[in-house]
Amino acid sequence: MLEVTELHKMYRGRGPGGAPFAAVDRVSFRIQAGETLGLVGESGCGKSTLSRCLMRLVEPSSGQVTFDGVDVRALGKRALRAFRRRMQIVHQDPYSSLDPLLRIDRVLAAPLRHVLGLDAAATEKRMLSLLEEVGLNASHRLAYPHELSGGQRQRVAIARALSLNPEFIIADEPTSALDVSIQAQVLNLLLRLQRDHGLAMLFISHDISLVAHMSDRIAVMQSGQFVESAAAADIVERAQHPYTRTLLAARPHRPQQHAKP
Amino acid sequence: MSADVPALNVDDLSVDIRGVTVLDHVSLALSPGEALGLVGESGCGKSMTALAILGLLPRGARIGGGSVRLRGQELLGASEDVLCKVRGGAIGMIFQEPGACLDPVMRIGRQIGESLRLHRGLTGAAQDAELRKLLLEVGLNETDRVARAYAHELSGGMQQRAMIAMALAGEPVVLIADEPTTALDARIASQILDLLDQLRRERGLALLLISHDLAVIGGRCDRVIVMYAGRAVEAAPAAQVFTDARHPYTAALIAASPGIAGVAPKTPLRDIPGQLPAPGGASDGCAFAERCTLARPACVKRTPRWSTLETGRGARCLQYEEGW
Repeated sequence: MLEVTELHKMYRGRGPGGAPFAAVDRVSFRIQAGETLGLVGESGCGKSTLSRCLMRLVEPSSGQVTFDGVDVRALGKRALRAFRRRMQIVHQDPYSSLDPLLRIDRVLAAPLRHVLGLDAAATEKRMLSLLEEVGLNASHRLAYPHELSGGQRQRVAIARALSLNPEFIIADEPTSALDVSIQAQVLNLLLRLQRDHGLAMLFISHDISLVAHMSDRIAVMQSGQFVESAAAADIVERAQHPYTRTLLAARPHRPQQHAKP
Repeated sequence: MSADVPALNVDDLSVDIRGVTVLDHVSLALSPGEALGLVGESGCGKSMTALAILGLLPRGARIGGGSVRLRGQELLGASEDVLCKVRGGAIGMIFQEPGACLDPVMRIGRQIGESLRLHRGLTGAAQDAELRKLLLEVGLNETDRVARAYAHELSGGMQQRAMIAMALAGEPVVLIADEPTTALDARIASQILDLLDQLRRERGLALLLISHDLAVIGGRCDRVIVMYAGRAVEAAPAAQVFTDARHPYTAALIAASPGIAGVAPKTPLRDIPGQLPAPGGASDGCAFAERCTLARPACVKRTPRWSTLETGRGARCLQYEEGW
């Protein structure tokens, strides 16, 4: 469904005389419908830049992005806008990705009315079914973002992403601002939505345990490059690259039973 | 100091903010060389506990009762002079955002030097020598470069090491680390936790490790206390808590964490339904009752007491009380 070949993004160096550097360095991968590719790497490794290049929120310097047979980099302005409906991002921080002055019904209604062209009654109906699908109820549509908890806000962000019936979701650290008990709710929601809608997903996180739980395949990114990519179980059990092994070694572990009491 | 004398003893500590109880009879004891984990989600009172110990409660907050003793000396109600010597002295502290705690316009060496002067009266060459020793101790081996650097010139991990050096400058008995690795990448976080572990053993520090993530600190502590809505709900040796949690919230928290839940990839985690309670939201009854799979009608009416289960273990849950 999504095929990325030799994707490359150069940035000018910072400050006078700063050397240009590759934020994303000749990265290639594929994601099938219904499949999740987990992207794991540390801050500054280029994982968010990569995700933005896929939607051309950041223009890649070179390389190819093909989505369902369409050459994404060749799209004109109008065609790009239409394309972006099919691919949606859920961001890390639901506190800053929702407009504080917009009530939830306006957040959700805007794409339904203006992009899909639904009338008022159809918008209302679709909005209620979206809220239900992400585990919220009708009363939440009358709330402002600050009246909701972090988990509820992330559910709104997911509902907004779903509103245009996308085929592909980029989840960029979707739970790193959430508490553990709420994180599990959002992860379960993403798994269920993927199954129900056959969504392809790029799941981005710095946490390899989290990525291993959510993904079919995992790509490990360091300094703009994929240092290793394989089936999730192979990465966890038979990592080849030393960097992957360090990430695995840094995972939280249960204390040993013989630890001193 | 003998390991039997607690370095820090908190007994039945309660705090309220404008009449709303935010800490409800929290107790903990910490011996030299011991690491105690204080775990819970947003708003559970873990940071409030740390602030109360240090006498740094926010405006409007009031101690409702209890005691905080440092090597037997009562800190609640102590004068500001005494507390100023304790903070950064006998009790060192590090926080989540080292970048926000370090002074952006003062070189690292001078900031640590200031602590050395304030708490140990070291100046000149003696201060310089001690500064270098501390930087080496926390793994900042390029001592010259680091001492001359401003905070923004260091990576997050190095900033946290500098914060730890500053905490060590006062020769602390107790080190309170409040979410020390939450802002760091997993690999760096693991190195910082290794460093804290090493310092605890080498210096015999009593370490209070506070985190929202049981998975991250569980393996680094001797004992853990799990908090929920301002109350300690379970205390247990860390080695036992993962396999034999006694409070339903602890068990649910473990089952909800992808790294330690032990469920197959891409299958649902056992999530905890509902939301975290707002502070002071629950008056009577157990604050976890509405999210608890074991809850019975009594749970929303009767506030559970602390039940001692066996040596070193306890939980605050009605299932351990008579007539449940």
